[in-house]
Amino acid sequence: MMGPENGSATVLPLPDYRDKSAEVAERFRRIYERPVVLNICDVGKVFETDRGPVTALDRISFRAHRRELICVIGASGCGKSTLARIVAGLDAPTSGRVLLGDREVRGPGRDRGMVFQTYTLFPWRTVLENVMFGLEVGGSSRHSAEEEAREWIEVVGLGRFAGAYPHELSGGMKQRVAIARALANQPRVLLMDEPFGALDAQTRAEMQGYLLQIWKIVDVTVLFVTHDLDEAVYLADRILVMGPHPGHLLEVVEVPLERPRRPAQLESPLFLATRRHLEALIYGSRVRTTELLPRFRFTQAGDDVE
Amino acid sequence: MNEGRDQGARLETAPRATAPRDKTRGRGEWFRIRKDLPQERASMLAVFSFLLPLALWALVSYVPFIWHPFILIEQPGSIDYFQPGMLVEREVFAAERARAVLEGRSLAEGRPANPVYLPAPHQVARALYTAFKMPPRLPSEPWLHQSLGHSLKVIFAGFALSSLLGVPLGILCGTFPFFAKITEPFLEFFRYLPAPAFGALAVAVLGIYDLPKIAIIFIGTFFQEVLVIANTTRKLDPALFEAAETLGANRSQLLLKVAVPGVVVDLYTDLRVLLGWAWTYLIVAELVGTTSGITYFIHQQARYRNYENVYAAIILIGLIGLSSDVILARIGSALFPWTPARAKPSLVRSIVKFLAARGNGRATKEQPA
Repeated sequence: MMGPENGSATVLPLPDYRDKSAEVAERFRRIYERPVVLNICDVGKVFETDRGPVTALDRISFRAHRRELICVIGASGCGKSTLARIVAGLDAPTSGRVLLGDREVRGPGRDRGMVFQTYTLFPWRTVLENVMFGLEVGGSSRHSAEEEAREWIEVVGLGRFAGAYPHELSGGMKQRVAIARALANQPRVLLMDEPFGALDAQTRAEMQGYLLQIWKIVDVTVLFVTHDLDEAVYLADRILVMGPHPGHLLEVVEVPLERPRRPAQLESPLFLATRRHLEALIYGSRVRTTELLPRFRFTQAGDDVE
Repeated sequence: MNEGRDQGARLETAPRATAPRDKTRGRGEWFRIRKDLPQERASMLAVFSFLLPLALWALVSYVPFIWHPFILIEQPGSIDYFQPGMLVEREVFAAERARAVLEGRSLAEGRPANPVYLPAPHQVARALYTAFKMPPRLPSEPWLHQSLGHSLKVIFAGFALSSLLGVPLGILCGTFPFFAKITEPFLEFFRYLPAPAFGALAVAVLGIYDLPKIAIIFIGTFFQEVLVIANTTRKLDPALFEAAETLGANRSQLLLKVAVPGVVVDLYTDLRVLLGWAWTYLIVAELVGTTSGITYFIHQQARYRNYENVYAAIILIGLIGLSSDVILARIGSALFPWTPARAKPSLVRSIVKFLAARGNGRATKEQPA
């Protein structure tokens, strides 16, 4: 089906990923005027293992502004999840520090919500009770917690499922509840560690749409870890591109796409250019090459598949 | 928005991998590896699991040429030491009979019989019914229901005491490595000490009545209980604790709002298994000090050679154990509505279903007539 003329990208040269429209450039100018919410200063992390110390993160520095949507991307082993866990306070950095506003992070807290890749809803609580959890442990009365939780369940579009238990929900619905549960605490930063990684492609695309809609109406800065390049470009204002061994920051890419994002943008030249740049950064020349296997033949001549 | 329904539909169809029926007909359908049997067949097999041993027992009891090493004398005839109702070995009977034939005396008559310690099913069934109505031989001896009641009291006290301490300690050990490290090595050592070994000590310290018995059930279950529950607690997904932490839960909230509710379903199952252990120790415990309870009843009846009562009592223990487990399972599924419907229906339920299905089948078959 694929003709030779639209099969290769050389026919139409892609624009430079740094070519922003005036509108997008103005948008970034306004973002940088907003206060810094999250300040990651020289964060390093060394794990002690049986085979000696392993550096997972090497002096990462970055500032996220209020209501920015930041994606963290990189090959496996580049420490992107470790970075998210350090910001969450679940792991402590071995050097450097994380500031939230002007307060240093010293452990998990209500001001940073987190959505994990594995489903972490409490199986013994209904959807409503799951969303109420943060409010309950924060000391809200049961009545007001329930009222607020109901609102958040409506926000993620699961009002009809308030009384359902997690095992009755699909994977995508579970993650929407997890988002509602994290947002109910009204955190300043929402950390998402490959939250859609376990979902099928169709559901993942839906979830990206939901996330953008929710983010638009909530005052929260999002730090979204993913290994999916399309997902990162589609969602992010800026992308932290990380490299492995040890995990370090390669580049901070400003995504030149306009908002609101639409699925149609996935095929725009600017999108492809940005994606290609990320690919080159992360995988270098290794892109789409498979080592040639030794040649054996276990089938008859004349039935070649390629 | 119809994600939920889709999921439901998928769940409905996925596990039932019973391909087209005709293709898998025959042997294959009974003996497939790790594939669930159709409900009807599973129930049928559950019924057979009880019927087979019963059939074996009936076979040995009622078919005269299988085993029956004795002759039950009905007519002593001319042999002066034979008495009606006496059990005589086959060889002896044959020899006496041969001698009587030679000497022209009247012959003894009898029929093949099993030893007195193997009563026939109907005798035990009758004993199950009459044991409760049969007054004890001595006025000082308890009735069967009193013996059973006493046993239940002891087992309940022992198990409640061990759970009252064991459950919280187990959860603490499973949640905080501190408690695990400071208790578990010693518990691992102690659980190898057989509880009956403490019998004499328990009597010396606690007297001869119920207290040493309760102590033995406690010793038998407590140490296992802590270790089992600690391991169950450790199996709880650590990501749940992390999620709760990012939602602002402090340490005591993590314990009370995550660890405890997170473990309660498996804990309940553990307790059901441990209750079985407690029954095992009950029989030992009742021999300590003054023999009491159902063990006392069994011993007395054996001494009077009422073996059908002995069997009846043993079967009663089994019935009480099984039915209490079924009742606890029922209560459990009512207590924990968040657990997905059990894949495996309980034994008793499947037997009842099977019998009901048979009944219905007969009813519908009779209708046209």
